[in-house]
This record gives sequence, C-alpha cells and structure tokens, in this order.
Amino acid sequence: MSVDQIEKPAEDAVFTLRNLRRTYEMGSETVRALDGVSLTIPDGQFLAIIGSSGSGKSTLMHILGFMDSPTGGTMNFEGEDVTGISRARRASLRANRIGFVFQSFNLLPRLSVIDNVVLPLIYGERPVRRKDRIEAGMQALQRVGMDHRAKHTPNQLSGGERQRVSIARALINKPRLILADEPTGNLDSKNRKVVMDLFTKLIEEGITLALVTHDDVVANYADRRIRMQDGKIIEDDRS
Amino acid sequence: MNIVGDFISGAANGFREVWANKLRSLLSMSGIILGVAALVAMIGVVQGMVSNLRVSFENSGGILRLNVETQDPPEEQRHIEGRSPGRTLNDAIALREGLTHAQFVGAEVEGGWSRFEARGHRRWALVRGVLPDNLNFDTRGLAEGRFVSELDVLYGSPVVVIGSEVRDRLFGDIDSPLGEVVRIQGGSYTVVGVMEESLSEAGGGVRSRFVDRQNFMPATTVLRRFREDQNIRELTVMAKDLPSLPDLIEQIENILMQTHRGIEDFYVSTRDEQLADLRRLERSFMFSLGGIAAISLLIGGIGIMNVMLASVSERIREIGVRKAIGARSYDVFLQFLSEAVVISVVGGILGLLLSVGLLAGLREIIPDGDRISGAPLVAMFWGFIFSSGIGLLSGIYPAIRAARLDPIDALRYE
Ligand SMILES: Nc1ncnc2c1ncn2[C@@H]1O[C@H](COP(=O)(O)OP(=O)(O)OP(=O)(O)O)[C@@H](O)[C@H]1O
Ligand SMILES: [Mg+2]
Repeated sequence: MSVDQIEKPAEDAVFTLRNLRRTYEMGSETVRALDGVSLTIPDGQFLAIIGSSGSGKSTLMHILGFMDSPTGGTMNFEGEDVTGISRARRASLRANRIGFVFQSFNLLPRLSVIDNVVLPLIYGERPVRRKDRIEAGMQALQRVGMDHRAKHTPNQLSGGERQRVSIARALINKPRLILADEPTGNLDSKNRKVVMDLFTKLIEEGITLALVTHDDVVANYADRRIRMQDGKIIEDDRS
Repeated sequence: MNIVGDFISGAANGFREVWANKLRSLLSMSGIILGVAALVAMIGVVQGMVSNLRVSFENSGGILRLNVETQDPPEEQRHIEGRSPGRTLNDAIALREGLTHAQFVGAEVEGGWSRFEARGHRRWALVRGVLPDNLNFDTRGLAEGRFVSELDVLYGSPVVVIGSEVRDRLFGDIDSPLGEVVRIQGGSYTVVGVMEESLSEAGGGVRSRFVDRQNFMPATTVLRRFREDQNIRELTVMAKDLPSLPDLIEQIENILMQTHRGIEDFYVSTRDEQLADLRRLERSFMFSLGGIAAISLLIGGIGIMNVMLASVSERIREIGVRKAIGARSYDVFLQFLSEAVVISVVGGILGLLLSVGLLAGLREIIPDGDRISGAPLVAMFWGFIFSSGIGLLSGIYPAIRAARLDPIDALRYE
C-alpha cells in the first residue's frame, strides 16, 4: 500500500491521521519533524514505529499522546476530530483516554508505587474517593504483577519493575490506547522480555498499542511495523 | 469546577510537601515568621502605650480640663511686673468662689522628695500639697480612709494621704495604716487615707511605682512646712461641660486679672493641643508600624517567592510527568499556589506564637513593662490575613511559571 494514499477515517480506528505536519521554526531555518504523515491505527492493533534517530518518531508519539499539536493536517481520535482542540481538552484526553509509557519510567520518586499508579485518577474527569483509587491502583498493579511492592518507593525497584509500575499507571484509567516511546530502551534483555510479554498479554485483552523502538526483537512482537525517515513514513509492513 | 475543594486538597498536598522539606520550608518561612512576630509585638507595645496615654488623659480630666500657666508679661507691663504676686493659692481660692461654670478647682504645691519614717521603716517619697478637688484630677481613687478635706486646707492640718507603695513599705505588717503617725522631714503627720494602686482599673492598667510613691497633704500644710515661697506648681479647673468652656475661660481670666493686679503673667491653656498631640502620636505610630509591616512582609514574600521558584525548577520533571498524565495547567498552578499559601500560613501562625512570647518577654524585661498589653487580637487577625495574602501573592508568579511549562520540554529536562 502506498504511504501517500489517503485513508478514510474508519469507524473502528483509534486514530486516523491525514497529512500530518509538525514544523519547528529555528530562526530562518524550518525543521520538518513530521512532513505529511497519514496513518490509521485500527482498534486492537500492536503497532511498532521504527526509524533512525531524528526521523520524527517521538514527535509523532507526542502528538498522538496530546502533549503536542500538529502544525498541519488533520487528526481524528475515536471518531472525534481533534485537530485544533484546546489545551484543557488535550489535558483531559491525556488523563482519561490514553496511557503513556516512557523510556525513563518517569515515576515520581517521593511518592510510593501505589500513589504513583493512582496519580492520573486525581486529574481524571470525575473525582474518585481515595479508597476507590487505592482499589483501582491495586488492580492495575496486579495486572502487571507488582501489587506486592505497592508500598515501596520507585527507587527501591529494578528498572524492569519500574517499567511495569509505569505500565500500571498507564492502565489506571482503562484507556483503549497505550503509547510507549522506547519502553525497553533502558532495560536488559531479561527485563525486555518481561515487559514485552506483559504488552502481549494486554493486546490479547483488547488494548491498542503504539510503540517506538530501535530494537528489532521488540519490533517483531508487533502486528505491524512502520518505518520513518525525515518525518515521513517510508515503509509500512503488516505481517 | 470546585475551586475551594481543589484548593483544600491542594493545601493537604502542600502540607505534605512542606513537611517533606522541613528545613527548607522553615527557612523560607523565616521572613514571614519574623515579620508577623515583629508586627504583632510592636502593635502590642504601641497600643498598650497609646491606650494608657489615652486613659490617663481621660482620667485626669480629659478635654474639659483647663490649666492656668505662667508666662512672661507683655513688653509694656515688664516694668510693673513686680506688682503681681504670681500664681498663688489665693488664685485657687478666688476661682473657687467666683466661677459659675466650673466643676472642680484644683491646685498643687510641690513638697518635694522627703524621707518618710514609721514603725522602724524608711522610704523616700514625694509630697504633693493639694486641694480636696484634686482627687478628681488623679487617675487613682482612694483605697481606704479619706482624701484631703476642706478643713484640712483651712487649718493646714498635719495629715497625709499615702500612696500604696508607701503603705506597703511602712505599714506592710499591719492591717490598716489609718490613724498611724508618719515622720516626714522632722514633722509628724497622721495618715488619714491611702490611694489605690495605679494598676487598678481606673488607672488604665498602668502600674507605676513612681505614681504609687506620691503622697498628698493639704496645700496649706505644704506651703507652711515644706516651702519658703508661696508659689504653686499647678492650677487646674475642670469645666462642667464642653459648651461652657469659652465662658469659663473668660471668667478665669477676669478673676485672675484681679488677683494678679492687671499683670498678664498667666494664660489659660486648654488640652486641645494635648489631644491633638495624642492623636498625632497614634497616627504616626500606626504609619511607621504600617511601613515596618509592609517592609517585613515584603521581605517575607520575597523569601517565599524565591523558595517557590527554586522548588519549581527543582521539580520541572515532576511537573512534566504530572502534565503528561493529564494534569491541567490549572492543576499545576493550584498545586504550587497552595504550597506557597501553606508555607506562609504556617509561618504566620508561628509568627503569632512568637509574638505572644515576645510580648510576655518584653513585659518582664522593660522597666514599666506593665504598660505593654497582651498580643492584641485585632493585630493577630491582620497579621494572619496579611501573611496568607503575602503567600498568595508571592506564590502566584512561581505557580504561573510551573503551570506554563510545556510537558515535552519539562520531560526532556535533566
Ligand atoms: N523542540 C524542538 N525544536 C526544534 N527541533 C525539534 C524539537 N523537537 C524535535 N525537533 C527535531 O525534530 C526532529 C524529530 O525529532 P524526534 O524527537 O521526533 O526524533 P526521534 O525519531 O524520536 O529520534 P530518536 O530516535 O533519537 O529519539 C529532529 O530533527 C529534532 O531535532
Ligand atoms: Mg525519540
């Protein structure tokens, strides 16, 4: 399939992007971090995004995660046109509809594991009582097999354990879509396998996952791989 | 949107944050603590002083009181100045007989510091020669016995009304000194009355050992036994009411022109000036206190802002994480603002506690420290309001800085 072919917003798609652009003005120079990306992510897909450094992978993830806005093109999320939405609306979508997993875990060192996991609930649409928050947090920790470490602080955990906790945090608001930017980048092969098995289990439970990686082993877990270069998708491999 | 609820849960988190950084928080509070403590303590001191001045102004006759003062006669009368007897007890007697608008007429003859002896005890104390009406010009009343009477004045009786401190020193070992004899400067005087302690209600809560060492005798007795001349130290008239004041002044001037044989070596002074002085004093105190308060709270506010700014840049990553998982700018703004308010409110409370201690300490150390009132509630209230307001103000800018951070930039920050 040609990458330039314009895809229709599919009813069951989580995301539909059309000709998406993100440019940075650096004085007289214009950096095209995303240069016309069109992409549909169907519900339940495990998508791996690969490509050389500086090709625009993180930029794409930030836009999908509503942390950044495109400077051109349109984007549709779960049937809703989200191209020019407000900052507050983007924050709300971050809190309620998307889970984000980072390469460097990004847990708050002063909070316990359980408090880190339930943090998104504080910013959620409706207030959740502390007792219910803790209950939901323990359930999420059970899903990643970390409930026995709930009272510990992040720096008492190994890298793999921290990443499992941060996945629990991404799961707390029961999103359909999880975005992960090099989630195994800081992990050894043993922990990489633990995290990828966990992701595989989540896919089987119906989660949609978009993941950036430099690692072929990780990319091979995915249903589909897209390769980026200079802000464009140059290869789309579904196998 | 429930701002109050958000703020309360923000304050709870603020407390946790403040508690987690105890030393840093304490340092950042120090400006507010000292500012509030100094402000409230100083208001306590000044208010105590001023209100005591006011009470003694009122108790000594207030605005209705007139004093006859001496002055140099005008140029054209200089050569016949000697015809006037000056201010004497006769003036007081003439005023008492002639004035129709006066409530009281008092006069005082100074007897000076003298040695009092009784029952084997000795004490230096002040002798004041007075008229019966002088009781109305004193801030104190009688504790027991009677004051100097008309007959005492008429006969120049050897009687004395002693101050409470003199009673304690000379007669501390007996129930009542009434009827006892005191030796003063070689003469014998019978105690007929004792004055109240100056600390009493009527004294405005002012205890003064100086006042309580003052003793009263008939003016005539003092003139005869303690002085060589006939001069009186003070001549005082109290008006019945304010409207009659101008007439009264005219009457006084007419009568004294006769007793002074036409020489204008006196004038009648009202207490307008004193009242205005008192008001000016109060105002200037309040202005300078306001200035000091403003400066110290400004410094406190700068301290808090400084710490909050440091805290924001220390926690840029945390802010990035919170925003990435859904915190709105408003949530981050509120988080940092409530931390600043918690710091300043806690600082304000500590400052209030310190001010109470400070005032208690000052009351002990300073001579006449009893004049200092307790920490005034109004001052405490405003100290508290100001310190929380300062926290709010100094927290706004750092909170805006935090809220404005872009999540991607913040997460990239090392
Ligand atoms: N804030 C910014 N200002 C200017 N240029 C930027 C900014 N952020 C990203 N870029 C540029 O956009 C391009 C894409 O960056 P991006 O971070 O998306 O790359 P990436 O594919 O994630 O690379 P890596 O594999 O190294 O993480 C790069 O050329 C980068 O320099
Ligand atoms: Mg990247």
